[in-house]
Amino acid sequence: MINAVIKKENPNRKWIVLGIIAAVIIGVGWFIMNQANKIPALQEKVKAQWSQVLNNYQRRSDLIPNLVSVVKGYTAHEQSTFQAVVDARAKVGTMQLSPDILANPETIRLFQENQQQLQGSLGRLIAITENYPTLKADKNFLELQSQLEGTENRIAVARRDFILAVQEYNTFIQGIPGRWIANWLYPDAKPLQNFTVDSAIQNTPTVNFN
Amino acid sequence: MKRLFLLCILSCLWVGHREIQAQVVVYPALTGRVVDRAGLISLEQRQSLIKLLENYELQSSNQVVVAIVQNLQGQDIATYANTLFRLWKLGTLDKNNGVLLLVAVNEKELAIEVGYGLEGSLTDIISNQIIQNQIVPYFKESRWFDGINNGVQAIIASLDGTYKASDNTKITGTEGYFIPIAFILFVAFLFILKYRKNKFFKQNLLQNSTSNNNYHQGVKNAGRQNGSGNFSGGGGSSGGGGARGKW
Repeated sequence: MINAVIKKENPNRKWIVLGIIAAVIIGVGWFIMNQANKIPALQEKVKAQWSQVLNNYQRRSDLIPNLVSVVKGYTAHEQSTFQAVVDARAKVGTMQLSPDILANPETIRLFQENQQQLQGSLGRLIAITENYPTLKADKNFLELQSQLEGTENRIAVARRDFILAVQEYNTFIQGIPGRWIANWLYPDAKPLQNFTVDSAIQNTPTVNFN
Repeated sequence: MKRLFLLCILSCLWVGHREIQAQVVVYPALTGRVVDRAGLISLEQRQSLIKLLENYELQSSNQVVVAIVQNLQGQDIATYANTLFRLWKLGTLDKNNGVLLLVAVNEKELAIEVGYGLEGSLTDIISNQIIQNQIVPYFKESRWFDGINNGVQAIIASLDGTYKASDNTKITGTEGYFIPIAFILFVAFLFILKYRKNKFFKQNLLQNSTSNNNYHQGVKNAGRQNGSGNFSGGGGSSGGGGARGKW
């Protein structure tokens, strides 16, 4: 009855329905576009954070030659400790690290392992300096020490940011509607390997100056 | 909001894997340029620091903030300082020119956290020297305000490029003269403060009615209310630059 009245009194009904359908289509399209744009944005964020991680690891690598040479001046007979640091640094330096390796869990694992090894050998180097009071009073050494400590902290921050960025990206492209959109528009977008926090690795000595 | 939430979860994981018992960490709110949650310094001392930091920000746009907390709630100071810096967004979005001086009373630890934009002038080496030479000697004698004040002055000096690292540290002010001199200075300071405050207030009222510059009003208002008002960070971030130390 009421329908009939509306039908009769509203000759534009067809247009209103069409308008609503068009609005829904535009709305859904806008939503999909928004979500679709999120995928490359998140990818770029991961890449940016990855470069930050690499930057800081590089910063640490650059400090090592100076540190070793200063320490060497005081503790010439700790040869094996120096060699371990130098070797670990060389190993880190040989890795090719473009953002493409992020999709490769094996490379990420290896990269992590090498950096942890370097951190461990650096920790041992710092530990032996405890036995040399004259070294600990050396101005150059103190400066290098604070730089190294600052760098370790930056690495921690950069790693944390990277883990967050990967987490956000992985969550999005594995969730809904991210997964559908990724399948449809970005078939190459795969979940990325994140840094793992292995308890065994965590037990390696960390650089701590207190 | 989502990022904040993730950050919280992650910082919990972060602490968790360092095998420290951690529940949810509650961070203090940015109520002013000096946030003293441990009651370490007096109101007058706080106000003088606020004045100093406020003038410095007006002149250089660098945002230096002091935070004193009772404890770190099981977190390590590096993580705590960085998280707090990012929560407070010290410094401006484009310049990232904030500095946070964090003091944790129970842990007897302190940190200088430097925003990305100031890492060049306030380097890790200088931050470490400021902690070891300018602050720790005072803190060892429980002279909290002197340590913080001295540290803040040194931070400002290094940002201006005028800080000179001193190798051997001597605490200035011998015990005999210190108290009477401090008292006289303090009284003089109160007078100056009172006078300037009145003047400042009038100027500010005038400006409020004529100027449309919201940012500067915000900065000035924050100072006028002695840090209890609408002071806020400008969107800056830090990547862990600075130094950490113990006393």
